[in-house]
Amino acid sequence: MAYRVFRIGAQINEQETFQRICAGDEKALELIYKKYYRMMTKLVITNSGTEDEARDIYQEALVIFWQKARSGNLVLTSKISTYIYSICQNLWRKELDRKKRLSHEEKDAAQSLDMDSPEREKIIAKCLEQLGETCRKVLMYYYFDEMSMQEIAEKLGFANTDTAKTKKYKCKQKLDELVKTQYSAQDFLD
Amino acid sequence: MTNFELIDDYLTGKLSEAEKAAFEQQLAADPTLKAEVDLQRQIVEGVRQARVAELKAMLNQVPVGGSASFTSWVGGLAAVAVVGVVTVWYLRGEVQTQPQDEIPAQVELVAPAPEVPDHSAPANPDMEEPQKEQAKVEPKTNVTEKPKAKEENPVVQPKLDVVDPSHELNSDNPTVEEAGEPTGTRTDRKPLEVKVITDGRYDNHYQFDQSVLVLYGNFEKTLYEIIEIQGDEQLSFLYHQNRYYKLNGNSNAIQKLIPITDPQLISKLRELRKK
Repeated sequence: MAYRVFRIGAQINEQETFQRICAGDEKALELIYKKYYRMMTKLVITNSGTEDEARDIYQEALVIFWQKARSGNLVLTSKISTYIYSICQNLWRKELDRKKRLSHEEKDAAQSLDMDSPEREKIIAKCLEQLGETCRKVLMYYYFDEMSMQEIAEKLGFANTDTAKTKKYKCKQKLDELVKTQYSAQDFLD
Repeated sequence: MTNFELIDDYLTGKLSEAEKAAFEQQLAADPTLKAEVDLQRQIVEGVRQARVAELKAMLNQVPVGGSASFTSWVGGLAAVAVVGVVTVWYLRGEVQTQPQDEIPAQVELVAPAPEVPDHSAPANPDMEEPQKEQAKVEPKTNVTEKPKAKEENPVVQPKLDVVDPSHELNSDNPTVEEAGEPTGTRTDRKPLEVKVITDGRYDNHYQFDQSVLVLYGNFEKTLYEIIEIQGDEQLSFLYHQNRYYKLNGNSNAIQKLIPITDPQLISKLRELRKK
């Protein structure tokens, strides 16, 4: 038996997907990612970028889109694809500018400026790892996805917003402690 | 408000203008507080970056057709042997390993960089170009939402999602013409063309008009799927809003869509869809 399945999405389906993204549905983001992958990466590839760069830019753009949609400040006046496309364009222009600058200037000088921050990011990422899944999620949802306590409680199955609030407070305290310990250990080495 | 909360609200932009100004004044006068805020800023930024990394890692797991490898894959499909391998994958339900699924055909729904189904669309000549095209396309989509605005709504192109060539391969002579087909669809016929009419004349009806499937009703608003089964006879089904409908292709009349109730048939169709 042979069979085939067509999936046909109409225009409005975009709205549904967008609403799912606003509601923090990561599956919907994956859907978008898949749907526009070729289109968006092509933008970079046909403008002197590599495939890896194209993927990076596209992912970066989607993460920006995600955060904006999540925070509730984004009112879509165009299609999702148009919006993401314009983010990709901007990101790639910036990246091309940065590359151009780098090739003109002395590379050492440009890099030494933000030498510190990736190192710190790594330390914080390591501390986050030690926190455990729930704490990590609470903090990420709060600081990046900008979810309300209500949303965090729902998403993580807490009894109520107070539980979410307490969790967030405790997790943050613990993270602060870990980071401070790490930082002073680092200073000690210097 | 404790210092902890105050700093947190400051860094997450939750303070009012007045509160913010007051806090910044305090900050300027108190080096210890400033050091703490700087540290907190780094931590919050670190959490955000970790989330960004997590989201990117998640996206990296999503199977997509690599655009460079895709071309060679399509080329390789010309060989019958390769088609055989493809079949095995499909039968195991590992459709997602196929670079072909999902992305190519759906791009048609999108204005910025229209692509042709053979995946050899010319490169964008200019990064600005798609934006202009977009502007032109926008108003058209509005028209589709207004009933009676037009006799016929724009045709929504069907998208080929799953092709299972097992039937053909089970027969003794694989057809040669298929071997040379570059699109990789592996079907005898062209994909069914679907037209949606939402002018309110009929609700939840369908019609086979020549080779075009016309759907009357609220199909613009949500996702629908066409399932075609090529056994001894050709069977077509429609999936829409959690319901399955059998489409009778032997008649040219406008027919009402009646949901399938047979639980066995429904589970069978669900299985096919999920593969």
